[in-house]
Amino acid sequence: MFGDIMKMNVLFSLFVCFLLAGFVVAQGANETLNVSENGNGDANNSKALNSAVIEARYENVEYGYEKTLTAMDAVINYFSNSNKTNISTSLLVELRETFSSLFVGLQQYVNASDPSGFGKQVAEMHKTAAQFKSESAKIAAPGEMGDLRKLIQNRTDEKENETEMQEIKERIKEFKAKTYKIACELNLARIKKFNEKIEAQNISSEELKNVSARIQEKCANITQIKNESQLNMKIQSIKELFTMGKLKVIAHAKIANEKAMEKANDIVNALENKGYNVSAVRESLDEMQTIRNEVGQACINATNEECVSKINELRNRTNDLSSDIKVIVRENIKNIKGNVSGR
Amino acid sequence: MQSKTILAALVVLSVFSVLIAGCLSSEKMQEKAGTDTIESGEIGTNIETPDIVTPDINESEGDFPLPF
Repeated sequence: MFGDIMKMNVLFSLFVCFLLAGFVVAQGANETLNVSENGNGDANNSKALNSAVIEARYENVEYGYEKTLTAMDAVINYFSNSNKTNISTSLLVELRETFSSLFVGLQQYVNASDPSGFGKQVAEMHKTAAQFKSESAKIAAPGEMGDLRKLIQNRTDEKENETEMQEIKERIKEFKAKTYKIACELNLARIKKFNEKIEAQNISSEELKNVSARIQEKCANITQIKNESQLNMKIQSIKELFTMGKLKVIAHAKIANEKAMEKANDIVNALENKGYNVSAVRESLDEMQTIRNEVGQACINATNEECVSKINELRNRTNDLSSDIKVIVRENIKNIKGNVSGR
Repeated sequence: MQSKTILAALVVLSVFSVLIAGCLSSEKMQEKAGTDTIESGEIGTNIETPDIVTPDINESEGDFPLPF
């Protein structure tokens, strides 16, 4: 009999262990999925997008750099080989070197995915190229201008036909397509997550789902497009869909937040009817009504960014109000309990 | 005797599993009911406006001024 009880105990313990293990595994799996789908997925895609954009920009700059350097060399050679003794090309050579070293230094901003540093460095390159242009114009005699223009045109045309330049052009296409592919994935994931949230508030997400489907369709096989003008056309229509998606997201966020504010109002009224003291949140509700009016104005007259900023302000205030309501409820319950026990 | 013991063990296990499942579901039901009540103060506002990004590749960035 004692043995049987032991067996039963063992069986029961095993059952409880399995139940607990199953529960823990399920919870763990759930958390991992949520993190990778929502948090890390978005962060990784954002990072990949930043790095693809800067790589595409680098290839564009590299193409222009090679062309400009060819033109600079043609000018320096022209003046160096001219028979005029009063001409010094040393400043032009110096500017060429500066231009070249600025381009070499650009790579560090690509590696660091630093768009701001990259932009500043390219601006310096533009300044240097402009200075080269003005200094070479000072040296040239009026009659030489036409010949120099022709010379530069010929040299840059030859350069553009070189395999190296064709390869850069290919890379520009590749990075452009890659950039938009990542942007599509990022935006689609964000819209999907947003749709789930608004659906939970009984707000229809059909319009956004349609935009998503169109983005998905346009983005499919984007990296396989070989023809440049076809790729540019595709990118243009994707850009238009992104703008449409952005506007629809903002419109839906506005509805969701206004609806939440109405719900807040209903809750406060209901609590008041139940005899709760809600004077502390009445003022907040009035202020929120003002913000709600500002949202309406900003979303009609101001930029999208200002509209979103106002929507977020309303959202934050509603969240604060939600916390305040919880405090009121807790306090009132405490008072009621106190009154009951005091009787 | 052995089969009776196993049978008894199974009955006990079934009862426990029903009890555990019941506890879990009632806890969830209570939680759900709680969020539905006005007293929870839950307004369901945590909807962030996602940023729909358009890559900014300025293709004219590499158009440097050529001499002449």
